[in-house]
Amino acid sequence: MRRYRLRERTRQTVLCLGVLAILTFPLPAHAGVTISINNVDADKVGFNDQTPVAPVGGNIGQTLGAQRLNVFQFAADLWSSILDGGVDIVVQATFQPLPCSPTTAVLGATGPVRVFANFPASTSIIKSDTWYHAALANQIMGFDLTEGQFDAGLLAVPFNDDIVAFFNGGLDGDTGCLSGNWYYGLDNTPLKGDIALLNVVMHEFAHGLGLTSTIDEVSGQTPLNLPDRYSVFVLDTTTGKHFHEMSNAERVDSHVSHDRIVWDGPATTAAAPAILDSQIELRLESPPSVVGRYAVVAASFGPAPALDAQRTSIELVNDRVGDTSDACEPLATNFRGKIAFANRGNCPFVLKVAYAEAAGASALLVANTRAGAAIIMEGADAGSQIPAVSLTQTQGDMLRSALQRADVRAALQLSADRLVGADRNGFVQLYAPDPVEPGSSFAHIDPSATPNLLMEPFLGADLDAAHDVDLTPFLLKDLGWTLVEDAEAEEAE
Amino acid sequence: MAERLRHNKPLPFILGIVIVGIVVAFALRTAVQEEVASEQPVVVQVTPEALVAKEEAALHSQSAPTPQAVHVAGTQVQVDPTTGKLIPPTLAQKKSLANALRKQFASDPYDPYYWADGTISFVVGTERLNFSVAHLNEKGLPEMSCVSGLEQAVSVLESGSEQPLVRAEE
Repeated sequence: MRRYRLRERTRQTVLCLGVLAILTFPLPAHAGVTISINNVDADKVGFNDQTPVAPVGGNIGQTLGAQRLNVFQFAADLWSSILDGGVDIVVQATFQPLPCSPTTAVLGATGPVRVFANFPASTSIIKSDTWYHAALANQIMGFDLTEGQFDAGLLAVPFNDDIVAFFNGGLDGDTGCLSGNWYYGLDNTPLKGDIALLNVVMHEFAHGLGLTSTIDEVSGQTPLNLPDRYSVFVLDTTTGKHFHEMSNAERVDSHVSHDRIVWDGPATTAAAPAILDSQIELRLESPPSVVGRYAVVAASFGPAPALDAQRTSIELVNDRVGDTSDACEPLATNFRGKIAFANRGNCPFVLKVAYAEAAGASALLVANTRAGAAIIMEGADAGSQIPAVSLTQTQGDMLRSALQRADVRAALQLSADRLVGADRNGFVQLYAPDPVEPGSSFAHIDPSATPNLLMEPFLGADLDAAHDVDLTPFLLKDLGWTLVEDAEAEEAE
Repeated sequence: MAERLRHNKPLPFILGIVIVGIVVAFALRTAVQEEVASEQPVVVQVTPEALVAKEEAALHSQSAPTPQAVHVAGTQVQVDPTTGKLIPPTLAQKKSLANALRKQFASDPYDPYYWADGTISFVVGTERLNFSVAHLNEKGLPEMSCVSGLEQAVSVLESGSEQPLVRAEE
């Protein structure tokens, strides 16, 4: 499976240039766009904090401020190694206290300083009356539309910088702000409770480079009634309209259209099969009332089902204790290759799988007991040999009802044509839950996608943006960015 | 003093009179209160401030078990001693944090710039930034989410809701 992994040579070069300053590795053939950090913090605070610190995880900065700046420059260099372009990008950055409490913190806030429309570029990819983020508009034009010195302060006239980034400097130390600190290492090994700054910065820089919309998600309004480049690829599959083609009211409605909002950019759609996992399907073949292909969610442990799994019967488990269908005790019957079906709850998932496997089941289905999406079952696997998947509560109720009336024949298998996190057309799904939930925004990929992606709204602990930025470069390519690997291939021809 | 006691009524008799008096007085007071209450409609004024105060009072009145202040990595957090789980912030704390964010990032819209060649530009401002927010879950571990725009970020801080459960061990 191909992921958009940062090439080892590039990554090592970035390490050398940005942090280690030991040029022992060859430079990439194509250097990519230059991204600079404009540190706008005052003396002795934020990026200029002189508190002595020990080197950590490849970050050799000797002061708190230096380590913060190293992480920012490292992230900038990583994006430079991916994106081509001849116009320097300036990220205006500050590391200052942001609202925080012992349990909740604003980690950062990022976006473009300016957007441009109707600039006279001579390329056909430009759409008129459409906003482009400054960094992208400059690359398309081939020169800086706001050429000049770095801005002297935060969002200060003349607004020459391209991206603005606020990050919370209050997290470090005994300040009453969360219980963990920023982790400034570049190796993604934060202590439990700490937050890896690099992952957050990589995510936020991508927003600043173009992966966000200027549409007000509450009102649906757009600045000067002009849509933006991002919304050109946001499609509501029910209405067949893209966000830039909608009225304000239609946008507000689509914003809470779970499973209906997708990204239909060609580069991302073409890259998705190599990056997203194949969907696991429960194919119900009888009785007629339930026949169909149902998307289910794989556990994070155990084997995946086969592409051509054998059809067999599904049987509700009975463990004879308490909720007899929870599979928290040894099962009363031998399943002889059938698929076991159990309720969620009362014990760890790994225990349910162990009991199902011991009873001879070929797979385990676990139905959620709470409304909403099916969850990813996790646990310390003890080497289970059967696949386990979770069902939504609705799917579970349907299956339980069918089992009371008839034998249910099914196969649990990998889909040959569906991806986890993409719709039936292969378009990557965006996050638009109804009702609105924290993180809901069509500027993010739906968190149902596996593996965990950089542009999902929830930055999971398994994210490692220093090595893998998955679909993100292809989303940027759809917007109009040129990737270094494409530029290199073009040069080689 | 001893002489006077000997010439007064016996102590049990006096105590009995006092107790009967208290019982009669209490019964009369209750009856009057019920009569007044039955004649007047009950008016309860509910304001956001009152709700916050009520929640705070309720929180503080929960004397058993008393939340324990513990230090995790140098920061004091409140932990329920029975469950060992983190006690979520109060409504007042959430509103305070949300107000602080709005105060820090609220901005007036910028006027657009028009170039002679037809180019238009405007400064996006802080209201439309993407905000990363972290909540500690009940285990005390940070869960991060990113939202678009100041109002959504304020909403997330006010609701204090954790991200939807995507992964679980049981």
